[in-house]
Amino acid sequence: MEASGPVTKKICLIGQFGVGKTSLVRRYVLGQFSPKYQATVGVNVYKYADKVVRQGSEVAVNQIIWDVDGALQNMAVLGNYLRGSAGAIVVGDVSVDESMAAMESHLARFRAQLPGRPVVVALNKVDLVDPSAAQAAAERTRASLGLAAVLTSAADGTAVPELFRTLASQILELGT
Amino acid sequence: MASADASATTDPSADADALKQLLLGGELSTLDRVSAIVAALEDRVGDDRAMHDAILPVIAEVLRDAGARDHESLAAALSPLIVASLRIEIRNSRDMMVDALYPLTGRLVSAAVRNAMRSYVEALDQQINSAFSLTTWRARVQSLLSGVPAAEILLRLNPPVTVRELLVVHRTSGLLVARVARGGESGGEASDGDLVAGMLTALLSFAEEALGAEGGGDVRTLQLGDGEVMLTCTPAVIFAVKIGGLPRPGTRSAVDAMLLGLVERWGDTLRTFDGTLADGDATTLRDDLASRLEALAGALARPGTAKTPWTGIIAVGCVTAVLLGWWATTAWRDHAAASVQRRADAVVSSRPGLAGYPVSATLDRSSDRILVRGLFRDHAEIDALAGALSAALPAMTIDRSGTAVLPQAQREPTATERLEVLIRREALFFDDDGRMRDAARQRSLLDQVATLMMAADPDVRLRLVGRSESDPGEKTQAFALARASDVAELLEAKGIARSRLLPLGRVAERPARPLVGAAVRHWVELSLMFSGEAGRPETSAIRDQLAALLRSEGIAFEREAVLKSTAEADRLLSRIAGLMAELPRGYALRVIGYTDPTGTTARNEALSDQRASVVAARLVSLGVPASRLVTEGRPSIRPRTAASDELLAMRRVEFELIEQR
Repeated sequence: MEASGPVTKKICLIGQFGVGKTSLVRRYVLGQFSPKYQATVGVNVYKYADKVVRQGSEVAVNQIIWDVDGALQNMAVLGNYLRGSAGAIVVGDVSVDESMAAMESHLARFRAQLPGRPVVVALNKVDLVDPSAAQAAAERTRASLGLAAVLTSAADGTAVPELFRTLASQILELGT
Repeated sequence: MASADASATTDPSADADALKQLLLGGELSTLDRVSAIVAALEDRVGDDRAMHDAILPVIAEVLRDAGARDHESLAAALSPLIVASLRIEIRNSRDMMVDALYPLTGRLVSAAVRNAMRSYVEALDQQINSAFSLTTWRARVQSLLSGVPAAEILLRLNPPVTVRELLVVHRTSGLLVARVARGGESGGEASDGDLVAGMLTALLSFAEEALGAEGGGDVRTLQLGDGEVMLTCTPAVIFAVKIGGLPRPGTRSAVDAMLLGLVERWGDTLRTFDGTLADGDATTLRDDLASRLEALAGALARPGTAKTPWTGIIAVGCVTAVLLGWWATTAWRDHAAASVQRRADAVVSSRPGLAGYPVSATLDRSSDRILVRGLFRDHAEIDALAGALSAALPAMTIDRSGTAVLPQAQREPTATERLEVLIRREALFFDDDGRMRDAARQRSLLDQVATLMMAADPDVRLRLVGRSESDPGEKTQAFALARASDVAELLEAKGIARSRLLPLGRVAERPARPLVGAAVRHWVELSLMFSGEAGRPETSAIRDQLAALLRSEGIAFEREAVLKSTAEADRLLSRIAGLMAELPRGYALRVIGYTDPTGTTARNEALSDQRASVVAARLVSLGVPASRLVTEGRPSIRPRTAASDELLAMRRVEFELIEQR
């Protein structure tokens, strides 16, 4: 089945509430950021058409981004929201030490339901800490989760497009 | 020579090796390296165990890379093996597979049955609406009058449903598979289909988890302003059909039928959807959706009520016939029952012995019996009534289980007894000039006395005792006798023989207040005389004994109408009752209730009467006929210990023996 049009994929943003999932999506999709915290209830769905380079050529990808309520981790409805996702971004707060345990928990939850799907880890809010502290947190994340963390800031836009494109590339590569 | 010999004696193998090294040194070195490599390979993959251990760490990475590099080739290579394995597994583990698939298949079957039942109910509802709807009948009448087809009239009354848009959403991922809007409808452009699909899926997921019914019920409708979105969910796909207008019965089933056709054709494609359709598939699917949507819109635009209404007419006719039959049967049964009841009432009314008795004969329609109820004078009267009813209504069974006969003590009193009671309660009063007071009432009393005298035993005579309060003058007794004679003359005028009347005159020993009030000073008392009762020697002895007892004893009350000692009272009353039973019927007992002076006069009058009644009732219970008792209240008039401070002693009842001769 070959298609010359854009590829459409569903991805999920998961992580503890307050780590900046919605801010990352809004920065990526709308180019906006609001310092005012407004909790996501249930799920918000966004769409963003982007291009990623694969094997030397650009591929158009329609990303249907499900921004999932962080409080749903232990609820059955979370499974429904994750269902059919091609990959996930697990988001943590680099400025909060306890964020690591929550990321481990969310990563395990996703992999238990969708094994083999690519996952990218984002340590958000790097604008709030020293670069050395951010690097140290990234090292701890690699050691703990076995994944390289992307240091992001929804507030100033640091590495936000790269975060989503990294996941999109992995999805295209694995064909999930 | 010697050196040649010496050299000839050196080791020939060493020479050969040196020669080999000289000639094949490079090859030998290569051969050694190859041998080492072969030995290493032998260690790594030389047997199954070594091969297994060597491949194990990398095989997963190899397969993953192979899949990423050439997914289809790897799939093509592995598919036959996987498919064959699955077949074997399914064949060998049928029970396990059934258990694993049961939740899914059970849910599908349940959903299919529910949809079928819903469609059936909608179809039935549509039929009923079509047959009985006032709107439909009005349209039919208008059609007959105007010549315009009923369908057209209905169309004007109820605008058709418009189909606006169809979304096909992959249920697992929430990705939009296809979206088609009908020409002229703008819904498809107003919002992003991918976002709508995602949010719709999230909404359904939330509803399923948070609000879902037992058994996995899905959301089927979203109400949106003047229209709605009809949702149909399969395990793989969500179909959302946006319609305008008010859906009619049958709209849902038409939508479901269209979607069923879609699933039949595109099921495989929709199930394996991974976010992208091949160009050919995408175009074909969109075209197919558009054509099916148009067909659905056309079907829904045609009103379903334009069919010939014969079914409805026949149904209405049948219902009307049944109702008429039921009404006629009920009316006939009511008429027959009323007729039977009238005849039963007539039988009861025709029985003179039942006059004044609470007797009824009622038809019980549930059992077709005549229920005879009530109190009868005697059993003979019951038998007579039952016989009369049987004769008048031979087809009915007479049920007399609800009848009762008055006890003997309750029998109707004789005229003599009624007269006795009447005259003990009444007297005739006169003023100082000898004129009868309240003449109309007293003449009525005399009429009753005359009537009862004529019906009473012929040997009963009437004594008329005129009484006047003591007067210093000489005329007291003569005045009293004159009043008694006046009454006797009046009775004689009413047909009573003079021989049965005995007027007497006495000076009054007590005031007449208990009868009419303190103002009356002259009156005539009536009493009966029975021939041969008086004069017996034992009678006087008993009378004297009773009189002595009554003079010395009384009944004391604690308060109000409560006896001071019930045991003592009953002991005295038993003795009185026994002596009264020994005395002839001409002797009666006056029971007089007293009170202390405290309290109002009205209260004390009522209380004195009440005390007398209490004692009289106990005497009746001891066997003294009520006709031989007269009660009277005398509040504080003549207390036994009037001079004493002990008010308690004033609360009593005393007796007087009345000798009627």
